[in-house]
Amino acid sequence: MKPTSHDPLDDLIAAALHGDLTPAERTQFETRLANDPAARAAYQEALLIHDLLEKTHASAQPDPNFEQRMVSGVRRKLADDQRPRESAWQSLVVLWSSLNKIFGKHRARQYGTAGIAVCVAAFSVLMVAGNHTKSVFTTISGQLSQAQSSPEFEKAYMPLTAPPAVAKNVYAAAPPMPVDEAAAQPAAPTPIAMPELPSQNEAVAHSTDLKKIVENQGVNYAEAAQKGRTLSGYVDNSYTEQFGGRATQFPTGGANADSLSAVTAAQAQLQAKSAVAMTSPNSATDIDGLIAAQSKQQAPASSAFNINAPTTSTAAPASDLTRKLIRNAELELEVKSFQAAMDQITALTKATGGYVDSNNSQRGGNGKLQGTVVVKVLPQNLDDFLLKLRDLGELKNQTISTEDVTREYVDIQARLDNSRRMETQLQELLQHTNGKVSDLLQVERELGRVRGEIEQMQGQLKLYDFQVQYATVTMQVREKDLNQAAAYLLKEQDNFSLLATDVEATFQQARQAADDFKAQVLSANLNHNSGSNVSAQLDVMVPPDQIEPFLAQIRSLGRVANFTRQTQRVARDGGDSDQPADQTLTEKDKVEVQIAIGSDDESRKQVALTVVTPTVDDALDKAKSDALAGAGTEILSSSLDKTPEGQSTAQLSVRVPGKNYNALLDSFRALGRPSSFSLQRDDDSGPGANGDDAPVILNLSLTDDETPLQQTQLAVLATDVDSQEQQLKQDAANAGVEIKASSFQRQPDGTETAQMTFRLPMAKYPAFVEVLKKLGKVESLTVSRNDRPDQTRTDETAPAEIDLTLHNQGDIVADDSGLWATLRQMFGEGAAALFGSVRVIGVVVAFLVPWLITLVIVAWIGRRIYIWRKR
Amino acid sequence: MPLVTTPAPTLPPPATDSAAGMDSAERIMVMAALAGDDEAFETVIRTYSRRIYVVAYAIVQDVSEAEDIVQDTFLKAHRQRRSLRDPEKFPAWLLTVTRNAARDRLRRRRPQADAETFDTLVDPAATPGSALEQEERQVHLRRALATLPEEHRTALTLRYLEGHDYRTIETTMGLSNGALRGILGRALGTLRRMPALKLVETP
Repeated sequence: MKPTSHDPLDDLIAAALHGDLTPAERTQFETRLANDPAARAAYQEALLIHDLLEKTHASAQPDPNFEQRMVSGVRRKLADDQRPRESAWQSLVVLWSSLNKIFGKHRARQYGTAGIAVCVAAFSVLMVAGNHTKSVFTTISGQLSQAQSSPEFEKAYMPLTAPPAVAKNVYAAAPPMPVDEAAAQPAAPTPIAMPELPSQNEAVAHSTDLKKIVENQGVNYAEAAQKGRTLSGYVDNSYTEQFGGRATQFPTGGANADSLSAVTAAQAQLQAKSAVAMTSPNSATDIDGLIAAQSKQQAPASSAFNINAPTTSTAAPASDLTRKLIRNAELELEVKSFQAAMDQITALTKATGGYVDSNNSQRGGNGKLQGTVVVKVLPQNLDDFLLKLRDLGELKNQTISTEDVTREYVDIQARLDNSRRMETQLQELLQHTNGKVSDLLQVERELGRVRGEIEQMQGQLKLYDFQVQYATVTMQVREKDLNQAAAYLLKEQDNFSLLATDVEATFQQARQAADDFKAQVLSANLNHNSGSNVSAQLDVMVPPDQIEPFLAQIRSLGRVANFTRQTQRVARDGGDSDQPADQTLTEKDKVEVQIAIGSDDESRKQVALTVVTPTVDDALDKAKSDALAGAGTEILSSSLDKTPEGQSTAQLSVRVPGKNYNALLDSFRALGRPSSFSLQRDDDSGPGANGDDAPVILNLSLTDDETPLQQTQLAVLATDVDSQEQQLKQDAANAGVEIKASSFQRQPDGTETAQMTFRLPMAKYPAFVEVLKKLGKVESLTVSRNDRPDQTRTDETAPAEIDLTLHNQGDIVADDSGLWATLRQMFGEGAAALFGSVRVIGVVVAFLVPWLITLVIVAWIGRRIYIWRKR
Repeated sequence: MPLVTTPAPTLPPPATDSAAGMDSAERIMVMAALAGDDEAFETVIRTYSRRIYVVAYAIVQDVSEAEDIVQDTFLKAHRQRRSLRDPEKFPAWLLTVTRNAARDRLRRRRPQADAETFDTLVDPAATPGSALEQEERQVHLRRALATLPEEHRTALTLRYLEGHDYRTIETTMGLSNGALRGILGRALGTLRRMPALKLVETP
C-alpha cells in the first residue's frame, strides 16, 4: 500500500481523540478546528474512525472466561498432540487412500493391498503403543478432569474463585538469599543439581513434590521432610505477596517443620502484603529432630508474628511432643492353682497402679482351670510387674512389644489442625457467600465432610492417648497337667469266623448264648444265598467279666477261624491319651464280638485227575453215571469243549463223601490213560473235621490230545524258503507226518520266514529230523523229553512234536531304498507337506480375517471421529 | 534465641508491566512450570495469555486467530519448557514466539486479502447507518487494519484494545511521545482516507 503523506494535523487529531494533548495544545487545536473547515471535516472523519475502532476492538476484548478457555485449549491440544494411536490410525487411513490411488480401480488388487496396509498399520500401532511413554501432561489433564468435582480440585483452583484470605496456591522453593539478589542469577531447576553452588541457585522441589505440597496446602511439611527431601543446608525463607491480581502464597524452602506455623502466620498477614522472612536451623530429616526443632522454634516464631498480626498458629502443647509409645506384653503362665494366681495378679496390679481389664476362665473335664487375664498397668511399672509375675508359676512364653506411634500421632495432629482451619474458613465463606443456594449447599457439604474428618481424627488421638497411658498385659494362665486325661477306657474288639455244618442252627445257638451272658446284640443277620449257601453275622457287646465264658460257649458250636482281638485305650473327656495313666483310672469297656458264621463245607481233600482218552464224550458220560451211582456224591460242575480241529476236552467236578472217594477215583482212572494226578490235603483239625468221612472234591479233566513225549524246536537257515516249505509239506504227507500248523511271512527286506509244527510217532522221529536238517544250516535245536513214571505208551507209538522255523537271509538293500523308491518317497512326502501347509494357511486366514475386518471398521470409525473432532 | 530479633522482611521488587522486572512470585511460578509442574504451567497460561493475545491480535486483527495463536504459543512453550531454563527470559520468549506465529499467519493469509482491493468491496447502494452496515464497516475496518504497517497496528491495538494511555504505550513499544503521536496520527489518517471506510455523511 502506498504510504500516505504525513500531515501533522493527523497527529494532533489523534492525540486529541486519545486525550494526550496538553492543555495548551488543546486550546490551540480547538482554535484551529473553529477556523479551518478542512480540519473540522478531517476531525469529523477521524472521530467516526475512532468510534469504529473502539467498537471493533470492544468486540475483540477477551471475555472473562478467556483464561480458562486458553488453559483448556492448550490442554486439549496437548492431549491431541500426545495421542499417538490417533496418528497411527491416521497413517492407516492415509496408507489406504494412497494405495487406492496407486492401484486405481482394480478391486481385487485393491483389497489385497488393503489387507497388507492394515497389517502394516497394525504393526506400526503396536510399535508406537509399545514405545509410548505416558506423557506427563496427559496424565495431569486426566487427573485434572478427574478432580473437577473433587475437593482437591476446589483446593487447587481456589485462587481463582475464593477471596484472598481463603485462597492460597503454594509453591515451595528454597531461595538461599534475598529475592531481588537471587533474581539476577540464572536459576537451576533442582536444588540437588548443583550442590557445589548452594548459595547461587534457587531450589525448586521436583514437580511431583510440589504438587503434593500444593495438595496438602503446605501443612504437611513435616511429612515432606520425613520423606527425605534433602533441602537441608538451605536457609528457609517464607514470604507472601500479591501476585497477578490474586493472592498467591509462596512459602519457600518448604520442607521444614516451621513452615507449618510460618504458613499459618503468613496467611494472617496476607492482606497486609508484608513479607516476612524468618530463618531457622537446617531442616531436620528425622522426626525427633523435627519435634525438637518445633518445640524450640515454637515460641519465638509465634512471638515474631505477633508483632504484625495476632497469631493464628495453633501451637501444640509441649506435652504432646514427648514420644508416644504403646507398650504391650503377652505371656503364658503355668500355675498350680488358677484361683490363687488370679488373687495374686489382682493384688499385684493394684499395687502397681493398674487394673484388671478382663478375666475369663474355663474348667476342663479333668477339673483343671485355664483362662485369659488382661491387665492394664502404668507403662513405667510394666517391667517391674512382669518380673513379679514370674514368681506366680512357670513362665512358658513371654512377648513384650513397643509400638512407636509418635509419627502417626504428630501427623494426625497436623492434619487435625489443618482441618480445623479449613472448618473456620468454610464457616467464614458460608457467611460471606452471596446467597446462591447451590454454593451454600456445596459449602455446607464440604463443612460436613471436614467436621466428620475432625471427629474421626479426634477419636483416633483419644485412642492413642489411652493406649499410651496404660500398657496392656495379656496373660494366658493355666493349671499344671491341664491336658492329663481324667480317666481311660479300655476298648476291646474280637472278630472271628465260626464254621459249622448247619449254619442256621448254629446262628440260633449263638444268639441264645448271647442272651445267656447278658450280651447286648448290636446286629444279627441270617442270609440265604442262592442254593444251599447260608451265612450269618452276629455282632454283640459282652460285659467284660463275661467275655471268656461267652467265647468258650461259642467255640463249642463249631470250628473257629481267623480270630483277631483289638485293644484300644481311649482317654475320657478328650484328654491326652499319651499321658502315663494311673491304673485305677482305667476302666474296661464292654467287649464287642463280631462273629461271621459260615457253612463248614470246606473239603479236607482236593484231587485233580487228567485222563487221556480218544472218546471224550463217552468218557464224560460214563464218569457222570459212575459219580452219581455212589450215595452222597454231588456233581458241582461239568463242561465239554470241542475245537474246530476236532480236539475235545471235558471238565467234571464232583464232591464225594470220603468213604466213596477211592471207588470213584478208580472208576475214573479206568476211563483212559491217566496222564496226571494231584492231591491236596488240608489237615487243619478243627472241631468239625471228621477224619476220612470229610467230603473230597474231585476234579476230572478228560482230553483226547495226548501230550507229546518229546518236543523239538528247530531253526534252519534256508536259501529258498517258499519252495522248500512246499517240498517239505509234500514230504511230510508222504512220510505220514501230521502237520499241525504252518505259517509263512515275507518282510520288505526280503526275509522269508516259515513256521511249521509237525506231530509224528516216535518211530518216525529220527528219520524226519534228518530230512529237516538237510534243508539248510541248522541254527538251533532244542529237544525236551517228558519221561513220566505213569507213562503207559511205548516209545514207538508215543507222539512227538517238532516246531520248525525256516528262514532266509534278508536283502542287503531293502526294496524301498532304491533311487526310484527314494524319489517316489520324496514326492509323496513333498505333496503331503504342501497339503499340510495349505491347511495351515487356511486356518491362519480363518484366524486373521475377522480381526482384519474389525481393524478396518475401527480405522474407519477412528477416521470419522478424527474428522468430526477436527471440525 | 532473643525474642526481639524480628527477621527483616524481604520486600518484593515493585511490580512493573514489562517482562524485565519480573517479581519473585512470578519467577518461582515460571520456574516451577518450566521444571515440569503442570499446575504451575496452567497458572502461567492464566497469567500471560491476555498479554499474548493482545500482541497476536495486534498483528492478525482477528479474535479467533489470535486465540489460536495464544494456544499454539503455550503449546510450543510446553514442548520446549525443558530447554527454557531462564525464567527471566520466558515472557520475552513467549512474546517473540507469538509475534512470529502471528506474522506467519498473516503471511499465509495475505495473498487472499490482496486479491480483492478495498475499492471493489464498496457497495455505493448500501444505506448507511443500518446494523448490517455497521457489521460491514467493521469487516472493512479489519481488512483496512490488516494493510497498515505492523507498528501502526500494534499501537492502535494497545490504545483501543488495552486502553493504555500514551505513556504506557511508549514504554511498551520503546518509542518517544513524538514518534507515537506520529504513528497513531498516521494510522488514523490512513484509515479515514480509505474509500471503503468513507461512508460518513460528510457535510
